[in-house]
Amino acid sequence: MDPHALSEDESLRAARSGDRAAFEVLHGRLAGPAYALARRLAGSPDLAADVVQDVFIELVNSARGYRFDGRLRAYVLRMVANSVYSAQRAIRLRTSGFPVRELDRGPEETAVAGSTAGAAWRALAQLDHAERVVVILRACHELPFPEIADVLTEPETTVKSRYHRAIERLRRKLAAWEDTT
Amino acid sequence: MNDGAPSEVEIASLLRAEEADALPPRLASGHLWREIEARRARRSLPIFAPSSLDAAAVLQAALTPALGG
Repeated sequence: MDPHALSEDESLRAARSGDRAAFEVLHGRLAGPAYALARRLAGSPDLAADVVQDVFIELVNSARGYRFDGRLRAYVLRMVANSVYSAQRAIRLRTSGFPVRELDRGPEETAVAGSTAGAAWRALAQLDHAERVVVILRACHELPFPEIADVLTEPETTVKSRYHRAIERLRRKLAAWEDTT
Repeated sequence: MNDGAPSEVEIASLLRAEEADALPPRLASGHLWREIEARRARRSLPIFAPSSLDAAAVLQAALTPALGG
């Protein structure tokens, strides 16, 4: 069977049975979005790559977790977001008392430092994790709210109100930044 | 709303201004698949690997006093 004709759930089942072609299809569909989310949330490219590698290994090698309910993409993005949060928390605990500059940077800051986009990423980094996930999935990945709710396993209304609250905080931070420039 | 702050659409556009990086080499499918297989192989090793003879010797040594008594 053509592996490209498989659904994401079927690809995962086949990959778990050792089918490399099915894994490549799965990788082609999910690795890019997974890494983009990890990179934007983590700031550090190394941490993002660690997280995505572990997520894929766990996904294919572990029989637990995913329920094959046709929502694999949401499941993978949720694993990524949770893993970045856990990794950042562990780093902060290990380095408490020391500034961890890398964690505060958005992926684009280096390229656009001093620009309005850089200010937007710095403002985003000041929001809490759940707010950042919602804003990144909506603004950068352009996911509709029902899908974001799936990723976060929360009601759509909760996700929407969190997003609008986060955007309002970003607006205020950016307005303050523009006043100082 | 016209309070001088950027709108929701403008903020989204600012955050999208730079694309996220391309996948690093260690996330390429071939590399990841080899890592998946390597971890799977390590996990399926028997507890007494690498040598079941060593394991037998350990068991025998542990049981000898009891058998001898």
